[in-house]
Amino acid sequence: MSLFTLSRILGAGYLLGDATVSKTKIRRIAFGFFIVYASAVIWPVTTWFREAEPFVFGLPQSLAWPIVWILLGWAMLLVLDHFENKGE
Amino acid sequence: MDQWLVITAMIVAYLVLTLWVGLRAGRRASATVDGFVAGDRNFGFLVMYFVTGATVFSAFAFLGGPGWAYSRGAAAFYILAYGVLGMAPWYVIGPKAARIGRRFGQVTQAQFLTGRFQSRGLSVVIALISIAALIPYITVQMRGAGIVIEAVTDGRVPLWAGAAVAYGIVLVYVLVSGVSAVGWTNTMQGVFMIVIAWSLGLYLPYALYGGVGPMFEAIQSQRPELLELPGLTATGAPWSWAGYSSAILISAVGITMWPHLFMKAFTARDERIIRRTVVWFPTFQLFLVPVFLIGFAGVLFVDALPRPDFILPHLILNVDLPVIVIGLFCAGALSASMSTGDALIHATASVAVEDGLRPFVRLNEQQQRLMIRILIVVFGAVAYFFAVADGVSLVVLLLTSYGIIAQLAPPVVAALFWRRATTAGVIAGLLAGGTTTLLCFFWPAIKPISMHEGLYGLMVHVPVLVLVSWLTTAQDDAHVEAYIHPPATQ
Repeated sequence: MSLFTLSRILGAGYLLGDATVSKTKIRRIAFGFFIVYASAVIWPVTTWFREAEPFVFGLPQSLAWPIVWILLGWAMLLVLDHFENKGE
Repeated sequence: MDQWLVITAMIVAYLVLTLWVGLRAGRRASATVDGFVAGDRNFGFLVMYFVTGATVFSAFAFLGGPGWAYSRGAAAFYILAYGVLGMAPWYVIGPKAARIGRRFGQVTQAQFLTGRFQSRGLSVVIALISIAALIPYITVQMRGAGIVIEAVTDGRVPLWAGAAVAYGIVLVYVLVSGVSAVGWTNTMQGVFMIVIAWSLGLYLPYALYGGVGPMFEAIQSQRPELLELPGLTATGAPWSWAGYSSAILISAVGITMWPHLFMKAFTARDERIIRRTVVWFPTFQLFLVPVFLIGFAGVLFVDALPRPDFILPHLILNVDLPVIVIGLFCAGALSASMSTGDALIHATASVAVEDGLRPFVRLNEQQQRLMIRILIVVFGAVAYFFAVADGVSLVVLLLTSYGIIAQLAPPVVAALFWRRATTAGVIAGLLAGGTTTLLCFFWPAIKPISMHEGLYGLMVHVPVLVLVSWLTTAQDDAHVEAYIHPPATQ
């Protein structure tokens, strides 16, 4: 859900030449994102991904799950950094 | 030529290279405390990136990581889960701390905190916490280096000698070049570690099982309990979700509060570099994946290793690898150990002098640097003593120290973001949180559920900080403003 909102806001930002996405807004989004991140990798959300199967690119799902979040976190940091450096 | 001779030659070559890089690094640093402890605040992006990454990935990651995956399975994944989560707040906190540090000439965490919460007592408490948490950490790194050298030379170079040689070299370059040596050697060692971890992490599953996928399928059919979260405890019983989740949370809170990491905010040339370091940190975090693959590769090939930390050396020596690969592995493991160890030793001595001694004794620049150098030798010797003695309880101590170090997070956050925080509140919170953590550690029976003791500490810490702050007189507005909205300098 939050990912959907996130992509919508970011998408809109790009379409409108980034002008609509203020630093404050992107910081709030990033803050919210990392709260979601924290909840996703601990109990109870992680219990839905605790099994080894299905395998994802040969890796057990239980291992793939935290890796997915590292990649998402990286993406979020890149986006945040992009907007933070606007106009500097 | 004997295999062990070739390997020893490669280790020697690696150590000489490290020494050369470390000694060269200091040539440009100024002969000041700022130069020795904060690298004249002139670290660029590449060095900052590797300092952050290599400091976090220690001998524990390189030797302990595979050991955890091998013996505790999915429990090891908690290490993957917390890194990025813990580093993200640094994007905001790091540059802000750097800005304040530059303005007030701070080089340590305690100086930063006592700048806002003026108290010599607080300075000493933080110095003591730091030293108590850092010494076991250094010890673990030294043992790691000793273990690797002993294993690959078939015991011809015993643990005590291996650790002495590796850390003798660390001592020399840190003494001569200070934090600049830490920065440049970590850059070299970081590259080594990444290359070696990825090559071994992909090579071993391929050599033993025919690929990563087939390896996990084989483990799934024979030892499925290893691949299911939250994994196992050290004794092989299933780990609790409370234990797994709270380990993630407390590590995420604690990671940037380690003095040797926090202090690096003061070494960056500008704030932009700190931000970029955080943005690229996840690439270092992914380096743990091959490390776990190495551990899993051992599951069906090595049975019941009495000391799981030896899994990596053991596997390497029993899989019939080309001798050059074994030599490279050693260099990688030594890199992991030394790149963390040097930063730790340097930070411990700097903190002891700057925060423990200087608030009470008047020292000029030259005396400060001399004292730091003397204490580098002293703390190195203390850690070495523990390293060659038996170190079983040290790992436990290290995990607990994360709980104590995490108690530094509320004061840091309060210093930067909460106007109403007072010195009394911060000290009361720190004492309450620290005491709770220790109580829960020594009497686990008082914990309602099996969460990490540091999390209980934080649960007591934060309310006490808030309450006592409210009950005491607010700080002067102008004083607070310098921390809440630090003006940009230069």
